[in-house]
Amino acid sequence: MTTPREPLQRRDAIRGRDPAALEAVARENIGPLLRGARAAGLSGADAYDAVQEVLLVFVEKADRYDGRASVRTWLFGILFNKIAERRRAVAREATVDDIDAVVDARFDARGQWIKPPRSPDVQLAAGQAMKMLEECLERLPERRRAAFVLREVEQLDVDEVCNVLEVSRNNLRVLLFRARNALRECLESKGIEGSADVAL
Amino acid sequence: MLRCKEVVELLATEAWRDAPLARRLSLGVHLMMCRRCRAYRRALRRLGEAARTLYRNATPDAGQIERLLVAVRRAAEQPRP
Repeated sequence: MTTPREPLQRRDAIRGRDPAALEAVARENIGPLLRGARAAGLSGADAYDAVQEVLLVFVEKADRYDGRASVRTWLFGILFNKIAERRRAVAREATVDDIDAVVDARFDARGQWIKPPRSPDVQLAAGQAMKMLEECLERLPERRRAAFVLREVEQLDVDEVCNVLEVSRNNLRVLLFRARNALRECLESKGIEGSADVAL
Repeated sequence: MLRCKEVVELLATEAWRDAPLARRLSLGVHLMMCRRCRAYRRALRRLGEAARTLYRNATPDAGQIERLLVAVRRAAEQPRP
């Protein structure tokens, strides 16, 4: 699997800071960037500000774009760096929870389920389930949330997500493992068994 | 035979994508036979679907997009040294 590259012509137009090309890139990516920022936990106004900053950095540095990763990957990289900066500024470091131990406790010594995921028996109103999912995402440490959002909401390739977050494939696996299991456990604890009825 | 715990790891990490053929096959066989692991896989899938639904609805309004594009245009027109 390789990260998608930009066609050369477009890469050169971006590098040449061709206004039409820059605007086209912005137009294509505003939606995904805003959504990504919201999903990463920013409020509507903060998300808007963050995306504006990302686009200005993009225009500013367009001549240095090397075309090795897609523009979208590059833009998401800028966005998630900005979000990480913001988080550090607010000094809201994620509390260390131990989702690995929680998952371990569901299995016996031979690796068989002791506490299997419960099958759905409660049909929750979609709106209520969504609210719960939002709360569970809120509790996720930032890197795990970013990995989950980029992979599941934005549906970037595994390699693209590694690029954006600047992590190895193995690190990404750990982040995804913890994010997914923490979300599932969180939803199950709120009564959405196996998170199965959410949004269906 | 894969253990349930290994199945959970393969699925949640997506390591199955790069796993050797034999391992992917035994994953498939395990899932066919194990209701609990199937429930787990279903839960992960639905988690992704739910997250997409949650944020896909949050489409930006046209005014926001236009304001951002104006900012981009203005910045793009700035002469460069």
